[in-house]
Parts: sequence; structure tokens; C-alpha cells
Amino acid sequence: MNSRPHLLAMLGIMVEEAIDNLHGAQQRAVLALVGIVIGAASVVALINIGENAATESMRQFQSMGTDVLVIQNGLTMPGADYHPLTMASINEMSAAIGVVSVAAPISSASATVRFHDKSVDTSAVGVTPELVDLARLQLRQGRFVSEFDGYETFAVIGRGLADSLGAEGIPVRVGEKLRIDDYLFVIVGILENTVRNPLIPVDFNQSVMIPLKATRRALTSDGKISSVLIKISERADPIGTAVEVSEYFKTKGSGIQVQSASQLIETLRKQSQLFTFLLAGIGAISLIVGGIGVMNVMLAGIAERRREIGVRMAIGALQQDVLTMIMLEASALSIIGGCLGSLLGLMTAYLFANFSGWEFSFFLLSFLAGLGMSLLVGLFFGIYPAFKASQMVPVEALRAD
Amino acid sequence: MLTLDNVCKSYALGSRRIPVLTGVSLKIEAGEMCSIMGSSGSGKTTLLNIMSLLDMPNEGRIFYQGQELTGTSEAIKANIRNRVFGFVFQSFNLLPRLSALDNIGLPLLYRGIGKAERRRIAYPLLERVGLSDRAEHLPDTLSGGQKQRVAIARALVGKPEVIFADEPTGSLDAASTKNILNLLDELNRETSVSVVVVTHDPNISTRYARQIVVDNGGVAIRKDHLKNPRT
Repeated sequence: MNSRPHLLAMLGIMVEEAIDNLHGAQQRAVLALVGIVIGAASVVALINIGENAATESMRQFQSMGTDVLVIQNGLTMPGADYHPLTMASINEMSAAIGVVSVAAPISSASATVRFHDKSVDTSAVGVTPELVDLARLQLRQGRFVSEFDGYETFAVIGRGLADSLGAEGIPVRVGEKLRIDDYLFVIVGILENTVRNPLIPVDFNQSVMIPLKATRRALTSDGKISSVLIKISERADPIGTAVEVSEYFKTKGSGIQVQSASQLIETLRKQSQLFTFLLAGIGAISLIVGGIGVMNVMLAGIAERRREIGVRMAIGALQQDVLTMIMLEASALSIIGGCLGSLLGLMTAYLFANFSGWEFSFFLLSFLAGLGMSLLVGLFFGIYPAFKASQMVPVEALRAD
Repeated sequence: MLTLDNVCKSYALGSRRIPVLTGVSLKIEAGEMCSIMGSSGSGKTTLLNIMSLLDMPNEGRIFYQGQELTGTSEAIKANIRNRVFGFVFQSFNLLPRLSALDNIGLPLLYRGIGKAERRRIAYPLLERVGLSDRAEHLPDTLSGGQKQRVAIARALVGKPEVIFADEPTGSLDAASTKNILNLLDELNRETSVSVVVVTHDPNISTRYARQIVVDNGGVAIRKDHLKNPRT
């Protein structure tokens, strides 16, 4: 008498059988499918939406420029020597590290700005021409501070401040005079509206900018540099350079702080990753609920198919055949449900991105996670029904009505 | 070919054990037809289940061609049920979602034969039982007699040596009963398959030359050649 073929050799035949069985039990199969489809769709949609949201907010930050570091005077420990930020210290650092391409010092002080009979308390900032490029400022009228301005009392005014100072019939214009504390300045330029860069301690939109040297004459800051924006060369790694610059100043014993947009973006990326995990977790819960649905449907099916399983065992099916059959049915359901659900999830994410005005990007990982998780869930929740079915005793199963 | 030696079977009922078979010994020879006869609850189905390896005795031994099967693995028993035995049940036990042809081919699934090949092998048997025009019909659309023909074809598909039929005509009318019994006789003549028919009906039992009567836990063998319609 021949022995039966190895289980692996039978797998193809068993898969064919499982699909036939599901085809025969359409209503049951469709019900189980719905659960898995919804579960997989939520995983894929939520991960994709999360990732798209992260990309979107990242894009806003990246527009600030990832190649800019902001160096600021920080707090010094009591009793320690105070080493204020100077252009000389920046130049020394630049020579030592060799990654700085442009530096723009800022000397910020609070001042009262008066135009005709309106006055506003705001910040007056001593700047150099390099700032335009580093802070991505744009001019609406006139020109920015130039290197030829020297100690001249010329001022460039932020759009927001200009709007607050101007009045009906007396707008702030290039050529007009305004008073900063006790000094009269000539307006040489007005900025376009700018979005505030969270790294820079000055809101240029609400400030008045004067040549750095002129601060010695007019401002309480007296030419002391409060922060320096530096642009690092293209090849340098922004985060690595920020750490290097920071270490440099630490060894000099000064409490100088260094921040980069990349650091912020990195923090943001970690936060949004957390957010995506959270969303994926919510998706996974619905997938598990879908899996319980599969188990329910498979168990109901097994009760209904008691006699069938008895017949199969009587005519030669082994426990492992019954186990394989039920597991394959559950897997087929999960794979089909996972595919349909993942597609549905992608469509949902696409529509969501479209309605939110985001750019949609496809995250392969979310698709794979949706598919993989639904297969795992289907297999996991198929184990119990399959085991239960395989434990049937043929004589008893055949007796069932 | 198939030998039962001093087989005992009892069922637990609470703390008591109800004996069903007490020391049954008998032989089924190759190519023979016999009946297992007894009143309802006498243990004839239990005897059939033990002979066909669907159930195991509490005591005693079973041999197939000299090989002892009591105590062997479920895989070996399943393989014998698949390759040596064919089963016909009173309530047909066709799978409701499979067509007549696919039902017939089902035992071959557990020999690792693919669906197309199973259908190819099953078709001549469908013809043999006179249902070649019903190949794609689901069991629900067939009459009782037709269902039992499909079931007999399924029992034959694996070229078995013994067909075990448990009350094969119990759910059929008189005309279908006659047809089915004649079909079993013909198949026995054509293929030399042994046929063991369980019945409570003396009119059916006495068709067969050898009658195993189950009563009070024991069996009596009655040989009655005169009543055999074939002689």
C-alpha cells in the first residue's frame, strides 16, 4: 500500500481546495472579508495620513533652510568668566572648524520707534547685508542695509511695523524719517511680510533694522552682538556642525548656544514618528477587531461544517489536513482582505491629502504593514478554529445533525 | 483479509460502563458480501465503525492482511481508510457545496491528486452509476437515490477492497432501495470488492449469503445460501 504524499507536496492542492471552499461559502466569506478590509484600510490610511502630515510640516520647516545655524549668547554659570559673542570669536571659530561660508551678526535691543505722532515699542536690530540671504528676507520697497552705510542713520523697516506706524494718508515710505529712541533715521527700505523663523530671536516683520555700526550711536545694545546667523558650506552636515560649533565654544568656556533648523526638524520628525505609531496603533486595533470577526466566522463555519469535517476524516483526511484546510481558508481571507483593504486605505489617504491641500506621497511601508498585519491577524485568529476542527473525532462528527 | 479478534467495546455513562460489544471475533474475506444485522441499539454501527477503523475497541485486536492495526498511528489508519476502504452512509454525507463529480473525487484529494485529475478519474464512476448528466449538480438538486449513487461512486473512486455501507437504503423508497442494493451486487461482481452492509431490515440482510447478527453484545454468523438471490 502506498503512503500518502508529503504535506508540502499537497499544499498546492490544499490551497486550491481552500479557495474552492471559500467560493462555496460566499456569504460567510464576505462577512469575514469586510472586517479585514476595514482593519487593513485603517492601518494603511492612518499610517499614510500620518506620514503625509509629517512631510507637510517638515516642508514648512525646510523652507527656513537647513544649512543655517543660529549662535546666541547664553546664560553663564555664576562666577564663571563672561565671554560675550563677538565677530572675532566667530571668525576664530570659522577658521578652526572651517565649515562657515557666510556669517550675519545681529545686535538686538528694545527701542521706541516713533513716526509722526505714532510710537511703538519694538526691537531695533543692528544688521549686516548678509542677513538678507541668511534670513531669506525680501524687500517690498527700497534697499537693504549695505556695507557702505557705515555709521549712517539709515533704517529698513519690517512690513508689520510699517503697517502699525502708518496712518490713513500718511503711509510709511522710503525717504521718510522716523525716530528710534532719540535718533532720527531715514527709511531706505521696507520688507515684504516674512514668516517668523523660530530659530532666530528676532521677528523681522515687527522690527526696524539699522547698520550694525550705527547701533553704537543710537542703541542701548551699543554694538554688542546678541546672535550670529551662519551659513555652513554645502558639503557639511548641519546637525554634526551644530554639535561641533557648540563643542568649540564650550571648550572656550563660554555659555554660547548653537541651534540648527536640522535639529528642530529632527525633533519634529521624531514627534511625527510617534504620532504615526499612534495612528498605526489605532489602525491595528481595528485590524484585531477584524481578526476576531474572522475567528467568529470561521468558528460558525466549523460548527456548520461538522459533518463535512467528519466525512473528510472518514475518507482519509488527517488532523493536519483539516488544520491546514481551515488555516488556508483563514489566510486566503486575510490576504484578499488585506489587499483590498490596503488599496482602500491608500485611496482614503489620497483623498484626505487632496482635501487638506497636502502633497500626497505613497509610503510603501504602510502598504506592506497593512498586508503583513492582516495576514498575521488572519493566521493568528485562524489557529483556534483550525485546532478545534482538527480535534473532532470522525465518529462523533458524522453522528452530528 | 480483515480480522477482528475478541473485540470489546463499551461506553461510559456517568460512572457506569455500558458494554456494547463483548468479545467479538470475525473475518471478512476478500470479495465477499455480508450483512451486519441487528435491532436498533444492538451495536451494529459500533461494530462497523470498529471494522472500518473509524473507532477503536477497548480490548481485542484488528488485523488487515495479517498486520495488526490496534495501536497504530492515526496516520496509518487514515491511509487505510483512504486507500483500502470505501464508505457509504445512510444520510449520504455528500459535501453540499461540491458538485456530484467533485464529491466523487474527494477521497483522491487526500492522496495528493489535483482537482482536474480527480475529476478525470471520477467521471467514469459517475457514468457507471448512471448519473453522467448530473456531473455539475449540487447534492441538494439530486433525489435520495441519486445522492446514494454519487456516494457509492465516491466509495469506489479509490479502488477500495472493502465497501462499508451503514444502512445505505435507510433513507430511500422501495424502488431506490432495490436499485442501490442491485448496484452494490453488480459492483461486487465486477470489481470483486467486498461489501459489508449494516441493516436492521431482515429482508435486506437475507439477500446475503453470510449474515452477522449482533445481539446482546455478541455476534452469531448465519450462512443462508438458499436465500441469496444470486445463487
